Amino acid sequence: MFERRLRVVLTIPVLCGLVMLARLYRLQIVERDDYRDSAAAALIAPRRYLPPLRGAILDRYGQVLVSDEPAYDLTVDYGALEANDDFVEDYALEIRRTEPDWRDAEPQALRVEATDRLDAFYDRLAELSETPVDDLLVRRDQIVASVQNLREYIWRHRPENERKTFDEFRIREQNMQHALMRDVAPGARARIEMALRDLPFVRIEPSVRRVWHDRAQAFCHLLGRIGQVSSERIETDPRIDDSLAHYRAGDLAGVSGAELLAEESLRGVRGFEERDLDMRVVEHVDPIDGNDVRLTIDLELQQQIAGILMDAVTEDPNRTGASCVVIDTATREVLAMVSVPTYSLDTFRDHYAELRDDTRFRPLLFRAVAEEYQPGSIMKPVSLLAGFRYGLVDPSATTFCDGSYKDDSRHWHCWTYWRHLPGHGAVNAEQAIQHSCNIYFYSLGERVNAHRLTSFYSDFVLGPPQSATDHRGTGLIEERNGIIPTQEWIFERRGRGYRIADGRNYAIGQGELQITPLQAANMYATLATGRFQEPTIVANDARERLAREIPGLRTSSINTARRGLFRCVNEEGGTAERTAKMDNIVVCGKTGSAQCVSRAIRSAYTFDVGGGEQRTITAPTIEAARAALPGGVDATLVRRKIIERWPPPREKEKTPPPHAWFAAYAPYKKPRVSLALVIEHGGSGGQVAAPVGRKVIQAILDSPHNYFGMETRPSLVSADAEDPA
Amino acid sequence: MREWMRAIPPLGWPVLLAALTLTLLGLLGIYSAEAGLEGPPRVTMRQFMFLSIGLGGFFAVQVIGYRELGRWSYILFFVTLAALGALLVARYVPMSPVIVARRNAYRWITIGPMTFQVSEYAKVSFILALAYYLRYRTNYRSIGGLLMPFILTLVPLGMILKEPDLGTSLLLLPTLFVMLYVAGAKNRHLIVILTLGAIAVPVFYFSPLMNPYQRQRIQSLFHQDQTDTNWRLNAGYQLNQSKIAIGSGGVAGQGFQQSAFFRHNLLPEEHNDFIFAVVAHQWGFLGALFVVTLYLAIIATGLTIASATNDPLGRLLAVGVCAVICSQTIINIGMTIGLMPITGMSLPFVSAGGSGLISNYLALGLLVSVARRRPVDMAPKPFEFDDA
Repeated sequence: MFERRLRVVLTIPVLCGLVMLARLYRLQIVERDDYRDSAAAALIAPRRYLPPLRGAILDRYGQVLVSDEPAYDLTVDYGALEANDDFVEDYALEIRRTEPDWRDAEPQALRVEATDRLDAFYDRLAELSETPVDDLLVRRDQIVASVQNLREYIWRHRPENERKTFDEFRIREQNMQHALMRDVAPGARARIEMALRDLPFVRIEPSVRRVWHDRAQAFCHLLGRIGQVSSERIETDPRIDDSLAHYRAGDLAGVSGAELLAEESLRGVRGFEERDLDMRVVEHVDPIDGNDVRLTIDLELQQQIAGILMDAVTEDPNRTGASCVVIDTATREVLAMVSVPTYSLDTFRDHYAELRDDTRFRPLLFRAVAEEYQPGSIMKPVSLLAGFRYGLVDPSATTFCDGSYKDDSRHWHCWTYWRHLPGHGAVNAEQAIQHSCNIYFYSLGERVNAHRLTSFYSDFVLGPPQSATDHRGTGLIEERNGIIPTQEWIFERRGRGYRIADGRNYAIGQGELQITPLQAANMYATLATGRFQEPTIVANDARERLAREIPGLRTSSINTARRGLFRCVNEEGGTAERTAKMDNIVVCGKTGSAQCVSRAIRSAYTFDVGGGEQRTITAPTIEAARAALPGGVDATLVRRKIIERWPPPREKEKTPPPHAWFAAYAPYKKPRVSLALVIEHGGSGGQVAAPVGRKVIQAILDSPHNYFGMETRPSLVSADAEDPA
Repeated sequence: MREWMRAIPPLGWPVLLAALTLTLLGLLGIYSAEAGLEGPPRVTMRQFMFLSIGLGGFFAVQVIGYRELGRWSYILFFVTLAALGALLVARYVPMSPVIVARRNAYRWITIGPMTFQVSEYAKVSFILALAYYLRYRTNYRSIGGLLMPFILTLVPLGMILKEPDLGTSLLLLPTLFVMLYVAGAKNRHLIVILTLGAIAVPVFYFSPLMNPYQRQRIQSLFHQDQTDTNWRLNAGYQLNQSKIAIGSGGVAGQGFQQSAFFRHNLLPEEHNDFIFAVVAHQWGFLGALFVVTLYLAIIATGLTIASATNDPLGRLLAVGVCAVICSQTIINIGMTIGLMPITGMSLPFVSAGGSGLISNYLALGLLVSVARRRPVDMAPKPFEFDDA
């Protein structure tokens, strides 16, 4: 029996041996390659990514406006930022492994030490870098929150069958280093690196920072900013399949202005380096820097025009800002796109609240494309063309203006009425433009009617629909399309149908009609060339921008309008003749004084602060009011009462000063450049805007680049040859 | 020298040579894992020293003989229990420098330059005492008679468990079982106890007696084939690294060289608990096969020794030694390949570690000592004729 039982006992090790051998067979023979790969991979340290340089944004002639410069970021492993249990455990093991003093410590003691070191890190860093520790903690919380948001976002958008439980779901960003401090000052860098080298989860990594050059202040609205990519943007990235090129959490990308518009060109591709544990390089891929993007804007011109406009604004306290857009009529490249006042790009972040709360001057507003104004009289050439389009105007037919006329409900005045001047008398089409006669245009507006007017305006300002492209304007995100008050629009917003008054108002550029300075400049380019084309601000714009004819318009009609514009600037009686006529170039243009309303600049905001109590704060903006209210971020707004508007109404007219417009193109015979400028609450177009226009045209003339294609200037021959693309 | 060699019986040679071969493979593995670090290969040199001491002990046991040691078995067992008791008390009454805790475990007694891991020696004295106890009895064939053997087992088991040393404590139970089984305990008794044990395991698993990290080790076994990087970097790190080391060994291994894998400390505990992974990495599947064969040789020879003798103490002793070596090997190798949960158990004859090596060679000495004793011939064996 003993022997028998011995044999039974012997079977156990034999069986176990066979099982083990089977398992070993699987591991070492069947799955050998997988494990060989794992072994090789285990000997390679995690990839370090090398950031690319973002492309620079240049002006028309290659001068740098904003570019990347090398910098250093202080990055921290995500696990350390989150300080989760797994990380603490790993860190504790690492301490035990690398520090002899801790080799025999108990697990709990190690964990406590790991946690302590983690907490102490922020204090150490705060001291080393002379930043408040709270700032660092806030930044840490931001990073953790953004990664968790991204994690949740991605998890919700994955198809069902790929889902694990949320707790198990991990995204790449949870295994990465994140920048806790960006752009560490060079002097501090070495010091911090040395001091914190004992912490395995902290690294100083090469990075870049975006630098605006001093000369770029006049471009402050146009350039835009970069910011952290949002979760949606990561998910909808066109380059999402390229492991080196796609966005990762914490990446910076353009979020406004030209940075956003040209993002696909500006963004670069990461490189990486893999080293094995002996610090030999295993693989190195260089980053691919982003492409520089050239704008069509001329730096010198932009700066000069900004100066000219700012001088005009500061002349009179009623004026709150100004904008000017200059366009090359043949290519519709925008040569200057100025909005004043500007702000300093470097100190923008520090002064953001002040800038935001300056409701009088609104320095943050990108007027050239984002503010819509009533065009006033500069619309008249276009309404004239509407009349021609529908066959309702005879160029030689006249209308009699005696300063005003009355219809059933009210008086309609020509502008002469307000100046106590006699009416214009009989005026034909050209003269009506020359003198900017309202009466002629009221009559025209009545005949054409609002419906056809707005329809024509759409074609002229927004482009004819039949070959509609999928984009409009320059593509800037800030760009607005103005308001062409079609019937549907009026129905929706005003709850009524058209009235005769609308036709009259729209014909003189008043009423609900609004356009941006860019649209005005492009409109005059269309007047100059007879064709509509979308403008652009980037050189070599890849978008298709066909020049399209305006349907139903004959050259002879356009020429009538053009002659009117010629007379407005160059012949006596023209509203711009005294102020904009120039000796060295023949300019065609139109003045405008657009009636407008004042804007609220201070209000009394009443909040519900809880417990049935209400508090009222007077402030320029609601954000400023909330800032002044303790716990104001969450308080509900009950009421807003406007306390102050700017500018105050004029004594006599009881309305604020109108916006002063001047829109023109030149030279008359072979147009090359169009421009439009508006001075907010400047008053009279002829007296205020036209002289400014003159200075602007002089500045363009003085430019060495011969934008007007003049042949009479002695240095022209060579300038022509050098004419840059 | 010849004297010594003659002292070893024929059946003792396979056992001794197999053990020495295993120890040699262990030395190669330890050296390879150590050579990349700075300084002299300390662990290798110490292991060599332990081998010498172990062989000395081996021969000493031969000289004394197992029967004489058997007479001392209860005393030795008592001494062992006293030492275990001291370890338990040391948790509350400081006894340094004689007894010092390492990582909150009280397992070692230091006398002078020597440090003894008590539980390793307890294994050997336990087998000796149990075999001595059972050698002439038959009452274990009844349920009541099984009580004392169990108490003899559970007392040291509990004390070792409390050190804490889960792994070593677990070895005592299979050894007890096998010894009872070959001694002739009734099948049905053993089956009932086994069944109770089988039920107790899940109860124990979910009870608060088990630490969370111990539970995690068992859970790791089920997780291991998922491609979860989280697991691979944290809870399953050691097992995963072990499998990578073993798997990358391939058919014939990476050879005896300072593998980068070990140079960079990518496998924790590569000297002792996971030494098999090192050997498998170096010598591949063929090497692992060789190792397994060596252990089978030891066990098979040991059981043959048990069969060849008719001395009851000898029989039980031989079986006991085989059982403990077999259990430890199965658990250790199983752990490195992901068939067993990770416990802190070393590989007999191979792993670095003085007490383990010495106590295993002592046990081996007992085994070979059993083989020395020739059965008294009461009658001539059949088919034996005098003329050649």
